[in-house]
Amino acid sequence: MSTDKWDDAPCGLLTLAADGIVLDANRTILQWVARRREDVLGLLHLPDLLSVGGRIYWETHLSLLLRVDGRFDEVSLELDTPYGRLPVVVTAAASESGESVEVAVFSAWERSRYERELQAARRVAERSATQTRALQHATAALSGAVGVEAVATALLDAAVGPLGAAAVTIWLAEPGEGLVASGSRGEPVDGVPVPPGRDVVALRAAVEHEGRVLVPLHGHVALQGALSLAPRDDPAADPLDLEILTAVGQQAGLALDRAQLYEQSASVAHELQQSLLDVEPPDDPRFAVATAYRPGVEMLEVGGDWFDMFLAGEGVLALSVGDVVGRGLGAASAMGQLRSAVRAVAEPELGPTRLLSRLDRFVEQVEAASMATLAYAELELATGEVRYACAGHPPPLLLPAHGEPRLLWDGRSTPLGAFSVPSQRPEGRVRLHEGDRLLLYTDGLVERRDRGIDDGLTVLRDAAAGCHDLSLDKAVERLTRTMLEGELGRDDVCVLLVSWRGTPFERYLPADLRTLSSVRRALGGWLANRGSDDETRRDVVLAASEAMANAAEHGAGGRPDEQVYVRAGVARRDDGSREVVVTVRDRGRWRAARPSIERGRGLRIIEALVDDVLVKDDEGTTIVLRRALRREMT
Amino acid sequence: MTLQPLPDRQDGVRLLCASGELDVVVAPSLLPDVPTLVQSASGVVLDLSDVTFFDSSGVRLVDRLARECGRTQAPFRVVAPPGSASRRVLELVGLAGELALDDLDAAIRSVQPPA
Repeated sequence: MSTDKWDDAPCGLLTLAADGIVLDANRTILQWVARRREDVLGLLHLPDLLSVGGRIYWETHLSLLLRVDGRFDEVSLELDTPYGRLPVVVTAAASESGESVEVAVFSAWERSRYERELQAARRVAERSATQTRALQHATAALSGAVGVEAVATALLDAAVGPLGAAAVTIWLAEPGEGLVASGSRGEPVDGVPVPPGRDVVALRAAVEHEGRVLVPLHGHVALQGALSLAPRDDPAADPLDLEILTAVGQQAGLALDRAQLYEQSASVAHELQQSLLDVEPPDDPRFAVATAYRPGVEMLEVGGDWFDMFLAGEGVLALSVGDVVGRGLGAASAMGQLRSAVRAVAEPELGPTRLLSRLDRFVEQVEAASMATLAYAELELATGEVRYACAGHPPPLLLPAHGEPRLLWDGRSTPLGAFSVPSQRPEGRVRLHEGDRLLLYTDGLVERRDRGIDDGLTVLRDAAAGCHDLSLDKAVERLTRTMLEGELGRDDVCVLLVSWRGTPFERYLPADLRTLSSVRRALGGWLANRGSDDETRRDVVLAASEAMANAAEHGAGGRPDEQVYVRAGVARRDDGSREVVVTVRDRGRWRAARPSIERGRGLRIIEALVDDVLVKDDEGTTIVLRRALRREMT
Repeated sequence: MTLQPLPDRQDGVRLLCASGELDVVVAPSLLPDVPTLVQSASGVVLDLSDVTFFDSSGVRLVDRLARECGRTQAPFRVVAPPGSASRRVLELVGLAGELALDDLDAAIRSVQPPA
C-alpha cells in the first residue's frame, strides 16, 4: 500500500505498539483529532485520543480483548476532538508476534445521527399513540357518564389519569352565576382563580395560561364550563397536549349538554312516579298494608313499576302491582295511565278476569302500556276471600299466619295486549285467615343477573318465612333488603304486603247486662278461632266481663236504655307478635265517679289479667285492654 | 247459677254449694241472703268447685260471707281447686291464702270445732 493511499484512506488507520503507543497514524485520523503527526507518534497512546468513557472502556475491556483474543471488532467509541466527540466504530487486530496492533477507525457520525432520528421518531409515535389512547379513554368515560355530576367526575379522572395532568379543576356554568368551581383532583377545589367567563367563551381551543392549560367546554349553544390542568413537574413526563385537550373539551361540552337535558327529563319522570306511588291506603280496620319502592341502582331513569290499593266496592279491597316495559318519562306516564285505568275499570261485579280483558282493550289505545305485566287481586274484607289474576306477572306469595309461605300459581295468563291474549283470562281464588298476609311484587325483587327466576322465587319464599314474626312494615323492609342484598345495577322494585286482620268481635249490651253471659261465650269462641290458648282466653273473657260490668254500672248507670259497646280485634305488635285488643265503651264518666271497693277490685283484676290497660274519657268512657294472643312458651 | 245450703251436718258445719256463672248479673242478688245463709252455723264452707265463671262480684259475695261469719264467730273457708275459675280470681285479689282450700274435706276439717 502506498503512503498516499494509506494517508488518504476513508478511515483512520493506526499502528500501535503492544503497550498502545501510537507508532503510526494516517492523515485521516490526524485530521479528525486535529493533531500534528509529530505530536502523536511515539508520544500518545490510542486511549489518549478517545473520550473519557472510551478511555475507561479501553482500559477495562479492549486492552484485555487484544491480549487474550488478539483482536476486537466493530466497537463503538468516541474520539475526543476540538469540535466535540466524534462517534467512531473501531476494529483492531494484533500482529502474530503480538508486538504491534493494526487499528481501523470508521466515522459513525452519519449512522449516529440516523439512529438518533429513529429514536426521536419512535418517541413521537409512542407519545402520539398514548395521547390517542388518552383521548379515546376520555371520550368513552364521558359517553358512559349519566348526569352532569358524573360527566364532571369522568373528566377530572381522565385529566389526572390518561391525559397526564398533575392537578385539575373544573368550573361549570351556572345560570346567573357564571363559572362555579365544581370539582378538582390534586388541588383544593377553590385553589385556582376562576377564569373570567367572557375570556373562556372566546376560546375555541385549549391554551397555555400562567403555566397551566385552560380548556373551554362549549355546549351546542352556550359555554358549559372550563377545565384548568396543571402539568407535571417531572421533566421526563410528556407535556400536556393542547390538541388532545381541545378535542376532549369539545366532547365534554357536548356530554354536559346531554347530561343536562337528561337530568331535566329524569327529574320530571321521578316526580311523576313519586306522585303516582304516593297512595294513601283506604281506612279500614280489617286490613293493613305496607309498601316499598326501590328505584333501580345506577339508573337515573325511572322505570314503569307501580303498586296501588283502593276500594273496588263496598268492603272489597283492590290491589294492583304492575310493570310497564321501558324506562324514562314515557314509561312513567304509561304506568300512570295504566294504573288509573285499573282504578277506573275495577268494580265489584267485574272481578279480575274481566278487568284484565278490559285492560287488554285499553292498551290497544296506549301503545307504551302494551306488554305491561300486572298482578291484580280483590280481597273481600268481610270474609278474607281473595280473587286474583296475573297477566305475565310473577305469582303472588301467600304468607299464612300459621304455616309455610306458598306461591299462588293459579290465574296466570299473558302480558296485557300480548299477541295471543286468551278470550277468557283465568282467575285464582284463595281464602285468607285472620292474620294471613299476601305479597305482590314486581320482577325486580326476584330476578337477578346471578340467578334464574325459579331460584329467585325459592329465595323469596325462604326470606318470607324468616319475616313471619315481624310487623308488616318491618317485614317489607327486611324482605326487600334480603332479596336485593349485593345486587348491583338492578331494576326497579315495587313491593306490596297486605295483611287481613279479619272481622272484629262486636256487640252492644243492654245496661242491665242480661246478655253478658252469652257475650262472654261468644267472645271466648271468637278468641279460640284466632288461636289463643285456653288461659289467655279465660283471662281476656274475665277482664272484658269486668270492664263491661264497670261500664254498665258507672257509664250507663244501670239505665236499660243505655248500651255498652264491646269490640275485640287482633293486632300485631312492633315485635311481630299478635295481641288481642278489647275495647269497651259507655257514655258515662266512671273515672270521675267515686270509686267503690268492688270497682277497685274489678280494675285490679283487669290490670292483673292483661298486659296493658288504657282508660280514656271522651264522650263517655272507653277502656282498652291489650293482651298477647298466646301465652309465651318459656 | 245456683247457691244451695246443704242440710246442716251433725257437727254444725254448713256447706254452701255454688255452681254455674257467678258474675255481676247474679252475685249482687245473693248479697241480702248472706246473713240467713250463715245463721247459727258453727262453721261455713263455700264450695266453688263447680263455678264456671267468677269475677269481682263473686269476690264481693265471698267477702260478705267472711265478714258475716266473723261477726257470728263461725270459721269460714272456700273450696277453690287449683286451676278453677274462682281460685285464679281469689289469688289475684289476695284472698286465696287466707280462705281457699283445694278440696272439700280439707275445708270441712278446718272449720270443724275442736273435738
